[in-house]
Amino acid sequence: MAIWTEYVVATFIHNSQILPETIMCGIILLSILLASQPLVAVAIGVAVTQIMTQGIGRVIMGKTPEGAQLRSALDGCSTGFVGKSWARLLGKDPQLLWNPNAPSVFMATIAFFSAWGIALQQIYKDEINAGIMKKPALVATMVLSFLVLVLAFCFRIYTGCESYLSAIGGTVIGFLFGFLGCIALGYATDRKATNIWGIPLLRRKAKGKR
Amino acid sequence: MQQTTPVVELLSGIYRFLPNTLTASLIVLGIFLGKISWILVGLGGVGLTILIAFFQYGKLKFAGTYGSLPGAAAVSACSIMPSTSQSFETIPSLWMATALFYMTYILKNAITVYTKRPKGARSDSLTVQHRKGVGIVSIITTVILLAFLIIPRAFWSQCESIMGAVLGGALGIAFGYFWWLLLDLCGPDVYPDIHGVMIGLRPGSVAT
Repeated sequence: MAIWTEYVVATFIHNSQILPETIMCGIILLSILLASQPLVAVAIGVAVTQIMTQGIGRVIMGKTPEGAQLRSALDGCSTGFVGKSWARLLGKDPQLLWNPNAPSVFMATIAFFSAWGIALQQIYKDEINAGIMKKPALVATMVLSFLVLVLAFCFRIYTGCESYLSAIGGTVIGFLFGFLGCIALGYATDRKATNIWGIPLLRRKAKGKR
Repeated sequence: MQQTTPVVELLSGIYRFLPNTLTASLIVLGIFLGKISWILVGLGGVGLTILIAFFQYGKLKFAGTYGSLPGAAAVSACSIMPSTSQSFETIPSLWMATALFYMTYILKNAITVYTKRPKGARSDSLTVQHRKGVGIVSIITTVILLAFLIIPRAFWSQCESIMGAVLGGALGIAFGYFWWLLLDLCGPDVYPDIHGVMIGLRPGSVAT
């Protein structure tokens, strides 16, 4: 069916390929439009994760250069519209060095968000237990986020853009950065900088009243 | 022929995919961060995209290729969806409709956030002032974005026709406004609250 293959499937695959950079741009845009400080914290966190994952990848590539391939920034495995233009902006050669041992930036980005969401439920468990946020909604989104993570993993493996090692490596790095980053930031700022739900905080309310 | 500089290419890449960026970000981040309101807004954007696709199909059926930009170059420069067809439909404009849908929705919610009268709290309390601050900053940034991104695309880019931009824009504004009203009917202050600052007024209202 022409509409299905030409629009629906093509649009889905195209948006899946560029998902990390789409979300990076989207989160910056939304943090400006919604005047949301917790979103700025998430954007900085994911940017740091991407830079660190690339840094780890470069170290691994230096140690184990076997199997490295030059790939074009314009091919399907390149993660986005910004990357394609960015590669041209920085240098005349748009080719990227890919190594099957280097952790995947794509998976690190997706795993970061998944872990940030899980950490939020940990940080605000008192408020959730008190019924400020209903648990079924959070459980449903957590199950969906796990499914998205698994789908992203399968998509990158199936399209040959990652090896199992790079996908798992990226997922672990992203998850660690997301979970530990959110927990650390939450407790360092008395849970204010991570309050993306905008819920009233029980402890602060109690202090203010008594 | 004048060559495009890499900076212009970079910015135009972000600019070209603005509606996709907002739709994908709202749905995916909504799922990951447990923001039901973002998922619902993103789904509204998907619904509008399907609606516009039907409009464009109907226009092709009854008005032929009037308003279409021919050639693969037009598709690759202007379309926000990958397509194998050799023409780009400008009436009604999908870009304009979806971008204005999000802007209208955010603006409507920001105005509500700013103007909502607090119940059981003093209007000069810190939380109310914070909420009003978020509302006014959001109103200003949305209007600036509207002026600098949407109006130039509508009137100066070669990807839009005036008729397509006006028709798409009208559909986007109407859909954005009514989508906000619909979500507000389902759960006042909670489901339409894309800014995430109103739940404090109705704790425990987020239900599946």
